[in-house]
Amino acid sequence: MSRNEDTRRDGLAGPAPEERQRPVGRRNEEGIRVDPEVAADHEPRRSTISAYVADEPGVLASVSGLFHRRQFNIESLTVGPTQNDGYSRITLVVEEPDPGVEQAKKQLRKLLPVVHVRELDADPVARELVILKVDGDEPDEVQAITEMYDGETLDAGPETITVQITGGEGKIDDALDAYAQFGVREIARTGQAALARGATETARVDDTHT
Amino acid sequence: MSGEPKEAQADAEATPTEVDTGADAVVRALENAGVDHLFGVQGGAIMPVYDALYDSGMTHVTMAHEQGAAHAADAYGVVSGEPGVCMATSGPGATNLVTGLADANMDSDPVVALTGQVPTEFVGSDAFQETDTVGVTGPVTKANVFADDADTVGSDVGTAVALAGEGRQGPTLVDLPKDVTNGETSRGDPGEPRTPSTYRPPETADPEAVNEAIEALSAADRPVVLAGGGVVKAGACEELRSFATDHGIPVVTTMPAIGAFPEDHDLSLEWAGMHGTGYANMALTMTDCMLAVGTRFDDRLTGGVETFAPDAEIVHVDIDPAEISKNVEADYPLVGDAAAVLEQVAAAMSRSPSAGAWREQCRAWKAEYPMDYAAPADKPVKPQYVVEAFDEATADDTVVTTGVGQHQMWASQYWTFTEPRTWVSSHGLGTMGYGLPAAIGARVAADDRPVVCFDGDGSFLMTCQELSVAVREDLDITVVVLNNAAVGMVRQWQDAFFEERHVASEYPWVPEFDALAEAFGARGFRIESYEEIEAVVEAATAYDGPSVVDAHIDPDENVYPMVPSGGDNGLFALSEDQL
Repeated sequence: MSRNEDTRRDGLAGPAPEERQRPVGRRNEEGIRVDPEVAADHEPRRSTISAYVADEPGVLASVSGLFHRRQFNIESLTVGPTQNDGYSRITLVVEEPDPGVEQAKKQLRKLLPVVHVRELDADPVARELVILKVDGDEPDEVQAITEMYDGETLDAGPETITVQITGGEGKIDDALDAYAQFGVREIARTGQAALARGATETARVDDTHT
Repeated sequence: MSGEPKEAQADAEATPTEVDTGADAVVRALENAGVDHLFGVQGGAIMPVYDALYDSGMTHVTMAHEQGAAHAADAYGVVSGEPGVCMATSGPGATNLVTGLADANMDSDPVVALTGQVPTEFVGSDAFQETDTVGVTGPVTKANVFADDADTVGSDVGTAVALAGEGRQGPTLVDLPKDVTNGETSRGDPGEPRTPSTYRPPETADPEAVNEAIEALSAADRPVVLAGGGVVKAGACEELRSFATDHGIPVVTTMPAIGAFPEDHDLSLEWAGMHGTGYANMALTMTDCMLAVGTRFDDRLTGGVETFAPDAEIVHVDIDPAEISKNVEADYPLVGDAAAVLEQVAAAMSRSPSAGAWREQCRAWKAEYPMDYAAPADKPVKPQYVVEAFDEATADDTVVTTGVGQHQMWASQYWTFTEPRTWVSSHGLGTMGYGLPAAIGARVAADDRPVVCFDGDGSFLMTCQELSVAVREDLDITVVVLNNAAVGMVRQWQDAFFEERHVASEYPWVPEFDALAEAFGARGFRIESYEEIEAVVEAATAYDGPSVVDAHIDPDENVYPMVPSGGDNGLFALSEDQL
């Protein structure tokens, strides 16, 4: 028993905080030990993560719910079938510092329907499609921009012209800027679909998941 | 033994359930998995599964509330190491399980939940007692599934049991629509429980990484082992004990790992964190190399990460790669099963660190920061004294469960735990009301070991209806309510951080818990002075059945040491004026 009959004090005995030994080191907010003089900061970076998943009900909800609940910053998410029946590819573009990208990949791998996760190189083969509807007052000028961006006119009428542009994110952004002069009425962007460049596999998949 | 629910022994050799329906397949899958106890509450959509239990040898404990069923299953899982199974109907039955599942998820406890669901054709129509259970429980389960076929529902259940218990343990759920459980199947025996082929938990760590880690450990001057709940989960306590004692390395545990290392051992610094011992927090703050095993570096353990073990190189052993460098960066990540990796580390480590001076320092801290408390005879009873009195009167293998709050901290600080799976509490989620239903689950799993539940008046009032279950099933548990007529931890924070403005924290109207116990058919006792303690402890622990001790404690007592939320572990406060 450590009951002390005589003492009348609140709390416990011992040296006060300012009397104690102190460590010399320090960590940053991400729990990484740093030299206090030159605390390293991780800047957010744009990263493309590709997940090969079993096409089960709820898998998209699981992935998007995971990103939401762990506060991963998501720029775009696309999903679609693959060469193998019953499996889909989810392409996520995230904006996170290195530790966040690592966490996102690891947490994705824990979801049971997720077969394989890979972060694609900085320069993956990535394309996006945008459909946009502009005012139809200047059809020739619209056509010129569309040709400049290798686009296609999908629908044209007296009031509006609807075109599609495909390309990398930067090209789409540029095209949207160029169309802005005509009065953009509506835009639908798909978000990026991507594969790893060259012979690199986007997903390593064995026979049980094809 | 009166604690064992009635039919258990008689039907232990019952023949396996014959499978004609989905519900039969569910029951057969549980039998195949070796499940012998279930905790649950009946209801419309789950009735076919209950009906299939009629001829099964499994024992079902009917709980008063589904939350109690989930906590009982959780505690069963903690004490036995095997998944605890809970059952509930659709809608409110399922949503009442959610707190217990979230609790199990935070503490990686193995739990399987089976929920009834409206017939498939009604799903999505807002039918009576319909809830999107898979949607609701997704974020708080390791895995969950909507069973859509009577032919495969048995293997769904088997998979859920396997997933709950393998790898990093956790709660799983199978949602069982009534047409599926009522549906006929000709598939027969669903077979042994099996995890899906995509599920491949790591076993051993990369040997090269192990070599790098042991080099750092061997070279350390101030090494410490931080044992987390994963050590208990992996059954790695023997490996931990021999490694630490062979190499003379002091051991700190997290709260979920209480009991992984004997607290009366010279190398034990007990547990660290917000209300951990001063010596454990000093050791974590000053160490230069930490072997952290099976811990997720929860914020209640680390305080602010900027000041957590800032001089330490960290060797982090975990079965879940996502825990590596999640909160605190690992210098040496060792991904694998705690027992297997500790064996690897032990085998590779030929040189012990020269830590003699460090061990002396740790001993000195133990002397400098004793857990002694003041207990004048003319003042109300101190809660710490009540905890110690029960500890002294009971066997070393006694299982202790708790609710959440000040009483939980006193129980964990002042009970001396020496064996794993004797400490059953709600850590990550901090679920008030966990203690009593957990004591019921622990009682069923603990064979003939004593079970003592420490509760607070606030916690006890949240789930005290489960006393009816303990009486009905004649379960020998002793509930000790450390009654300060307040949600004391909240009041302690109000004193420290809210200028003593006691909003909604004082309970001037608490019932007489001893009389309440008698009304339930349990035995009630009361402690109001030191003189009564010895006799009450003896009578309550001797009583062969559920008893409740209403211990009126000093309402002014607070929990110390204390590291304020996000604070520096090394600057723990020993009293309120240091906060």
